[in-house]
Amino acid sequence: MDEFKKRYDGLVIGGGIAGMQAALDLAEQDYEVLLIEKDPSIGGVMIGLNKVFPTLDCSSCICTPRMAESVHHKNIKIQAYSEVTSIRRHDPGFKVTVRKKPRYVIEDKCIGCSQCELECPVDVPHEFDHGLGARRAIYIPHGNAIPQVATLDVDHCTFCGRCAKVCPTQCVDYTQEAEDVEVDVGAVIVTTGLNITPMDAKKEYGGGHLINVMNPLAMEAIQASNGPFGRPLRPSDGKVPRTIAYVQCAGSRDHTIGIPYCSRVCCMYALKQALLLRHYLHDVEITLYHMDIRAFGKGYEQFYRRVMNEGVNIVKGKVAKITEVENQDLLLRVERLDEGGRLEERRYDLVVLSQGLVPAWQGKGVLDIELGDDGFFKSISPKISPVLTSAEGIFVAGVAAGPKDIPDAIVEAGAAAMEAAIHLEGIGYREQVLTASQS
Amino acid sequence: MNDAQINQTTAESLSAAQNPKVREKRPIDILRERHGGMSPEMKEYYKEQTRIKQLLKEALARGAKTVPELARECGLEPSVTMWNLMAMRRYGKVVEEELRGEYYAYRLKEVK
Amino acid sequence: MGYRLETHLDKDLAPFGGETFNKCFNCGNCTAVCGLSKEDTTFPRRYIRYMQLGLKDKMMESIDPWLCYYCGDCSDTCPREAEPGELMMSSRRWLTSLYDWTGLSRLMYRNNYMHVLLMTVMALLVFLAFIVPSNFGFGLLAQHPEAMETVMLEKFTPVETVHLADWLLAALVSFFLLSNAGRMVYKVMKGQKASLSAFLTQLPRLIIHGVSQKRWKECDKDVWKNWIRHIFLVTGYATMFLLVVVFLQDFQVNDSSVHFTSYFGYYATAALLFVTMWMMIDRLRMREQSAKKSHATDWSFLILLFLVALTGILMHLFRINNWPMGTYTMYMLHLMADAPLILLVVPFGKWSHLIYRPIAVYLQAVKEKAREQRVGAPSLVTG
Ligand SMILES: Cc1cc2nc3c(=O)[nH]c(=O)nc-3n(C[C@H](O)[C@H](O)[C@H](O)COP(=O)(O)OP(=O)(O)OC[C@H]3O[C@@H](n4cnc5c(N)ncnc54)[C@H](O)[C@@H]3O)c2cc1C
Repeated sequence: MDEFKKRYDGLVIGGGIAGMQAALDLAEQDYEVLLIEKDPSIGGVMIGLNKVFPTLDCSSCICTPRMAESVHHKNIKIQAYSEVTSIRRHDPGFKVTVRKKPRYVIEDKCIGCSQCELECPVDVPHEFDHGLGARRAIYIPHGNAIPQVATLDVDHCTFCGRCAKVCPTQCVDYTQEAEDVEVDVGAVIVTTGLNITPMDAKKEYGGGHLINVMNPLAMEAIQASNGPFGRPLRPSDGKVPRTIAYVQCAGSRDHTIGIPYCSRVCCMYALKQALLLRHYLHDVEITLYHMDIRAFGKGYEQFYRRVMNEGVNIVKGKVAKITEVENQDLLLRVERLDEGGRLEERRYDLVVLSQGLVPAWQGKGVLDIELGDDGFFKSISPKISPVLTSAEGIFVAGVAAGPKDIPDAIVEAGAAAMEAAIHLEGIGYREQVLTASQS
Repeated sequence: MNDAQINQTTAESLSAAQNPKVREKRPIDILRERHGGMSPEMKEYYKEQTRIKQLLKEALARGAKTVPELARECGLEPSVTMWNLMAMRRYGKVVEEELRGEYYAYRLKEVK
Repeated sequence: MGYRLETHLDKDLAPFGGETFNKCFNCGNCTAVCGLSKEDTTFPRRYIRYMQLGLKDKMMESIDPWLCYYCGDCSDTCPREAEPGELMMSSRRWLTSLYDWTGLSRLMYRNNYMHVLLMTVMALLVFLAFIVPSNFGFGLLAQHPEAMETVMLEKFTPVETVHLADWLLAALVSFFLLSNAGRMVYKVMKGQKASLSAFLTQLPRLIIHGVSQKRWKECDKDVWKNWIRHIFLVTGYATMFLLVVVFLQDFQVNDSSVHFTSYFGYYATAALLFVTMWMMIDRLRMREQSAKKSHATDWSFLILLFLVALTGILMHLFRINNWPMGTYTMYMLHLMADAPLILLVVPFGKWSHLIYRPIAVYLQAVKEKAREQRVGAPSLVTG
């Protein structure tokens, strides 16, 4: 769907895997859906993953088709690089204000040729690679981005004007401004997903200042073949790492950082990354320090066994301190409970902190629905219908409702779409709107 | 783009802004004015980056090198060297060559 | 060797302040974050494990709690908020009560009423000693009206009597303290093979650590603050001890003149007042981990010590200003505060750590030495 209408049956906020699934499931039932994504491209965290546990399928090979399907669906309008700034109840549904951020590029005219990006003179740390790689001030986020159009980041622009000059379709438009549009919707599904625990949450782990202490999403990026270094290398000096440590529960199950809950996916993604590193790197020693391994899903325990069998060292003991030593190597201090409580101080080339999941968005000032103690959107009926929120007509799915992996996020998205459809039928949204527009 | 060129564009835009009759305001000038031009930090960032890129290019022109070698030769932090080198790699200026011990060497890509 | 499991250890430990051990899930963060935890002596995690399992014997054999100086890093970073630092602190109280054979220690730690009652009784006994006899205190004073005009301590508290009492007290306290320390050594070394030479060669450590407390510098946090406070406290009190027990003949001046030993007294008083106030303020502010939770015995220790120093210096000031009644009353109050401190807190209470801590460091060294001597014996790493 290309045009931006004045009314949709469903609004989906957040274009990650859960949001796309919810939009598709509603659209397939012939409801019209508006999907709002704040970033330049949809895809969420998943499009930035390398491979997914426990199958080790290529993540973008699964995610890209979903993205394409959503954007080409006749009942779905995708509005990326936009934010919802207000949602008011307006019977029978909601009145929603959407702010379209200026890309300084006319989306319909851009053909994604990258000429502007190649011409742009300034390199900027790329959000998609978590700062490890570079993009230009005008850029297309990545090869699988949807929509495949350029976005100009004015904060890093040198105002040289060259991108407009080289554009073959004259689509660079420096005069664009943010635009607010109002739409009516009958139901809302919130799928705004996750951030990882901030890297500076724990000062014992360097407080985010140690360059070779990596965030797990950055590790996904450097493992991917289109990653910023082309292969897994150390960010500080490009060394091929020989010893790598994973620190589990670095950002969850820890009262001292205010995140007492388990983030559920960290054990599995760490095992996955460790296994893949064993495949990618020759002669590498990988140790995973944990409090206990929570391999909770179907086939996950088997995956855990496999990772152990393939030579990843699994050590029980919570890493207490990471200090930077000579050559920006890292010294870890841990009590090894697998060896009767021996104190170990070991040096590593690279350390990955298995950060937890925290909510990306809490709806402040926009969505007046209850949050749980953990800060995620609260489900009012966690057993019977986990997708119901404290507000009628507003549903939640994916990590926005609490930490979970992709399969669970997808199942939940389907459930949210179903509940939204039931709600739309229940209030007779289409008929009501029709009569209202006729009278 | 080098400093001289930047200054020139700035001069152009200034004259355009001050003397609207001479030339119509270009769209890029509108954007610059709306955003108050480049911030001082951004100016510094851009200048430093241009300098680093130049140093790396010159060093690599003398032969393929690893990150620590480049850093030493250019007097840069290894991490800064790494980031800028990888940026050059991403935009096709540099390619990876053989593994030397624990580090890969990189060379300039020939322009045909 | 088999170990007996105490199923009600949690109830037993609770009055000492050790309630949180069941929150621990044994991740080992506390041990690894601790600067004092070493290859072969790892704590607090292992000790907390003993608590969870009810391994009372293991806990009694262990010196780990004495090796901890409560910097609070472990509690600050414990992902479960199990407060390992406080568990070590409460274990020190618990161990103190178990080393003590009289049962007084246990009574005081477990029962706040008894704790206050015992101290009050002690103070009252001193009071009576000043009131009842005719050849001491107010009874003696009544016979010497001239001592009401100008300060004449000889007519209130004859120095020989006081000195004798000091010696008796010192002997009594040493007897209790040393017999309890002996029990500690016995419990810790029971079943351990250590030669006499191991015991003898490590003896210097006992003294060095007792005086310098230099292990403190291995902590990661607040090292100087805590070390300085303790050095002031130790030197202040040791000075006072020497003045009173050894040099009383000089230190107790009869009239309002000033003897040079008073200058040592000034140092001791200043150190004690300064440190006790500092520590009390910390406990009221509850910022540092070690000051967040205070057992009644922590307070009584600080308050008594503060009062002893305060009444001591007031008495001195009244005396040199020649105010007889003020001097005499302060003297009595001074001893009323001092008696519970010396007789209860030193051998049975918090202050007993002045001997248990150095002994723990010493015994650890002895064990290490013994291990070295047993060539080829397996190391105790997994103990
Ligand atoms: C390092 C790592 C590795 C992982 N590996 C695996 C794996 O191998 N297998 C697996 O099953 N799971 C894995 N996971 C978990 C997986 O990433 C999540 O389950 C999944 O991405 C959740 O999808 P989502 O759509 O709920 O959230 P997200 O993917 O976070 O998507 C949310 C979307 O909403 C957008 N958004 C946020 N706020 C707003 C707003 N206010 N307005 C508009 N849009 C907004 C975001 O930009 C984003 O596009 C991993 C997680 C991490 C951190």
